[in-house]
Amino acid sequence: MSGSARRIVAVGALFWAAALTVVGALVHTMLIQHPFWLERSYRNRWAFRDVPTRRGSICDRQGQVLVEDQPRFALDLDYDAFRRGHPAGGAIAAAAMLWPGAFSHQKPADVVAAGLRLLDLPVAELHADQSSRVRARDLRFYVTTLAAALSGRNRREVVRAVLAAVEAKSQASTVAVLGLSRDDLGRELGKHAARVHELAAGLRGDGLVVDLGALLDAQLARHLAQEGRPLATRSLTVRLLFEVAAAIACQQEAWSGFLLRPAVTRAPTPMVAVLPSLPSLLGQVSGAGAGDDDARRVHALAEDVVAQAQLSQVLPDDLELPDEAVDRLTQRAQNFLRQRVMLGGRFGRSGVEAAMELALAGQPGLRFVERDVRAREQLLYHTLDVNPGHDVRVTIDARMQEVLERGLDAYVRGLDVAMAVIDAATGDILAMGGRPMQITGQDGELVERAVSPAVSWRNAGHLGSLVKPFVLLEQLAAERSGAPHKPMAEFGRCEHNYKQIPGTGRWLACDEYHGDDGRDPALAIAKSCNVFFFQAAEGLGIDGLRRAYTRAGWIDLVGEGDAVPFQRAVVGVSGFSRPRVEPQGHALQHVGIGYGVKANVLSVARAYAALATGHLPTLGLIAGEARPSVDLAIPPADLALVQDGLRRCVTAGTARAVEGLAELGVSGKTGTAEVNEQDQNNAWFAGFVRAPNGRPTLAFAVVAYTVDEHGKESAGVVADFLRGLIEHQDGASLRRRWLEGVEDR
Amino acid sequence: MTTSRVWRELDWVAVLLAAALALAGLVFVDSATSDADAAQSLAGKHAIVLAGCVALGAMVVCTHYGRVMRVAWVLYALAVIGLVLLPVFGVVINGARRWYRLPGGFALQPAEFMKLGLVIALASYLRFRHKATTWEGLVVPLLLTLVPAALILKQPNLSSSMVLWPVLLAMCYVAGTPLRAVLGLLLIGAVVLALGYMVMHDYQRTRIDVWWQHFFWQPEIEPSHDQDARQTHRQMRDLLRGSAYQPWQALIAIGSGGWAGFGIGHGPQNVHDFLPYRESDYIFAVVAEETGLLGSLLIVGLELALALRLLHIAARSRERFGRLLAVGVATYLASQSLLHVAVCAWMIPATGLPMPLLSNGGSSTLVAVLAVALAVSVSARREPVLAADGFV
Repeated sequence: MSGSARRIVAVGALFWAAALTVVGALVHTMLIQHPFWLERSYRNRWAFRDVPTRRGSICDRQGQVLVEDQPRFALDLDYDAFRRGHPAGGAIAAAAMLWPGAFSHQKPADVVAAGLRLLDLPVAELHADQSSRVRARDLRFYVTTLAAALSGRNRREVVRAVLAAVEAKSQASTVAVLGLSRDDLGRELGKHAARVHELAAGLRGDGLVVDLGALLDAQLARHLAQEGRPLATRSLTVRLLFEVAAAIACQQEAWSGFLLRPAVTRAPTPMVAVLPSLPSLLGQVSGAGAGDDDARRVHALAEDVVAQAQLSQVLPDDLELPDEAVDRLTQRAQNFLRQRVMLGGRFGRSGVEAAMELALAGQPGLRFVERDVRAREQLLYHTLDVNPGHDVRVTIDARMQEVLERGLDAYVRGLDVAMAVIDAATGDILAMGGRPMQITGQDGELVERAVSPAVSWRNAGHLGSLVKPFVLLEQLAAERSGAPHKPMAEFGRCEHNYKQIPGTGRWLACDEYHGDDGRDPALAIAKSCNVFFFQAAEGLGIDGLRRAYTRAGWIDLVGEGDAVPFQRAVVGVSGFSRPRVEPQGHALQHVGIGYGVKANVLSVARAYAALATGHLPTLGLIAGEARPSVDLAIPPADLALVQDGLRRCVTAGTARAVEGLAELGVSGKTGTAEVNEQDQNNAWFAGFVRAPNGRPTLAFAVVAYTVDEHGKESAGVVADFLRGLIEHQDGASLRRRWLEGVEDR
Repeated sequence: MTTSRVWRELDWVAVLLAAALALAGLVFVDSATSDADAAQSLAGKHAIVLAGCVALGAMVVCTHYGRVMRVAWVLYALAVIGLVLLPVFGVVINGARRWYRLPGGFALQPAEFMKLGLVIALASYLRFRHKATTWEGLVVPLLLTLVPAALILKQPNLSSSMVLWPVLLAMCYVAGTPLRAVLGLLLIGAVVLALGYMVMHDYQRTRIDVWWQHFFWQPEIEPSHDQDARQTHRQMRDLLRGSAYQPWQALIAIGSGGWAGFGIGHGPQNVHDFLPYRESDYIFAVVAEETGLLGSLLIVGLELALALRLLHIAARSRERFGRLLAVGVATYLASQSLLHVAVCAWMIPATGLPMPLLSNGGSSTLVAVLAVALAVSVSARREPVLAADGFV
């Protein structure tokens, strides 16, 4: 073999060596690392897509829908696509590179001016010699895209012509190079800018907090600051109406950067729109956001969703992956679902929406798809079924609520007022409401919004004389059992002034001279004789009074071994303020007439339901719940005596002047609790309606906080309410259920 | 020598190997470009180009390669002029000025022609220098290579200029240049490459940096509550979506192929468009993904076999120009093929280099076919020479 032949063999050996090295690397990558790369390949093209669930509706006790999910469209902004594809976006983005801060998205005229100035620029300015390579490339892109979009010419041709002129370092403008009409281009750009402006106005009406123009400017600033790194898509709204969405969808090429997707929104039905108290009661639904106060709860709910999802069903059975890789894939599915629930899910934040979250929310679905590089779905592998949320029925009767709201509107005249009506037998909350819906400061700024009207913003008010029936019940019980008391037979007459409070110079007094009526327990209730209850309180002592208020469900006796009629919360009622008995700082006699005793209208209505039936019901807002009631074991004679006093209150007592109460079968008690030195009161009226057959039906409480009026004014609201029920267009049904025979009295 | 005798004497093994590669190329170009978005597969166009190239190749085979030798310097000069005029008449595509635009949507890449031009020029220069000194046997060829290499680098096209160096070294070595001189040149080349890093374009430097870093990556890092891990994950994600995107996707395609691959036309990275430039610069990744290790070995084997067969032709040739020509063509085909595979497997930094005969691309295919035709033309003309074998 010659020398050169040997050298050729050596070259051949080198080829072999190089080839073997390459083959070795291929064997390592394709066989040894195969599972890793196969999983990577799967991860590239497999994607999980969430299928939003439908949240259950909330209906009233008759099944009328109060709030429901309605199909809408979500609109997102992909700013990078907007600046690359939308003429307005491109014009401002390019102008920001050349003339920082000179133009804004907020004025359509700016967009036109920026676009025309850009197109007037000598094309030589787009040459890489004039700036950095990347900057020149970006500018050329914006200019050619803008010119092509506005002129309707083929982009490839535009690019070719402009690039040729750029290479020639021509001083002609883009408009001149392409032989276009500057006016036509300006007009066309103006149309694009105007469309974006109109959309911004529409979105403002739709509740978009951020102005779209300002948002676009902010995104541009972020884009420039991030030196071209991709920006996250921003959600603009999830409540876009079909008409607006259709207009965008039909002209997608004119709306680059605006992404539509189906969405649902939680919308009250028209009926709820005329019932201002209901939205607060039903509660809010919203997605989880950054800095969410409720983050822990939302996270727990997301974990529930993930735990319930049968994710193993989503993955195909024939995966050629090791078990660990399948586990990782399952983990990714879990993470995806958790993330979607956390970021895209909607959660009840208050009221019934929050309380009944698990029932209402449903289980979102998952689709396992194969996608291409542009995220377009190519193949559907498997789905995890969507489970829609269950409908929830609340105890509210929308018709009764409507009457109550009308009554409050008529009565309010700027007062803070609250009212609740419950089913005396079951504790179902039938209607509740209050005014105003929000409290504003002196300058008109919002101080506090009602979380749940009737129970929250004033919290529990002093009850005043509303407590007297319960004190009487305890007095009667003490006389029977021999517990410490002063016998009623030894009670003195009512002489207006009862006695002076030692050390203060102030008198314990009654509003009127009741004389011997003040010694009659039923009349003492009816006429609200303070002197009678001063004497009762003195006999019962603070322990006796505590027993009285425990019977009303206003004291928490946890740990004392007794029956616990206290109800600290009502499922679905946000901001429920628990009753409080705080005798400290008050004379014993005053505690006996309601000083230091606070409760909200629901707790008061509940206590008066007990006076009607002898059983203290458990309040509830969710229909169909099994709720216990506490038998107060009140001897029938005692109960009858108190009920007689309440009945006589409306026939001959403090509420006698209120027209219609007696005819409507109302038994009740006024309460006028002095709350400040300006002689302002909490004006209460609480009681129940007893049908002619003797069956108590409705229990109620109404209060006007810190007013000059007395309890009898509040009683007028009840009379109006009951008359409103009878006169309601659906009155026959309401009467049959709640007021049978009442109107015939 | 009559034409019929030329065809009889032709090295049909080399022709068949080249044909097999070209046919495989048609199959994989079709697979790589038949996605739903394209108006039609590029395979049709590639087939037409290939047919034209084969016709030209046949003409070259019929022509005595000695005639090529006579115009060697003209061809070299034309190729260099083609490179010189690129900044004036060339078009910029993807930030590089490498092409002349031709009517009918075609483009001409002079760097590809330069490869063959250099082989011919070096063969022509070295044929009488069998006892060459280092100066004659290495430095002058080095200068002949340096001029086009510098012009190609300026486009910029680092990968094409890289192919010229193995060709130079192999041809000089076979021509008789002392081994120590060749090794010395290799050493100098390594030093120049290291120094060249300093003056490279940013994107070229980034490619090298990312390539080096990828050996130490931990791609399994998932986002967690740990700040550092989250930061690393973010950086990793940005890198894989940015400068590392192409080589990473190619690695996924190759690695997921396994033994037998997903089947032709069924490679997910290919079908779902995750792999850019897969019909040209990453065609081997498609081969690996769709036919697995077996198909990859077949293609690498075919390329290697073709190069070795051309060396065999060289060894059998008794005429220096033909012998050097065959060595140069073999080295060009082998080095470009192996570099292409190495790029796809990310063994070396990412760069755009078509696989001869397999990748789509008019200039590349034409040059590869002409080069093979020239080499097999040598096989058909093993005339005795009067002078003694000049090779030492």
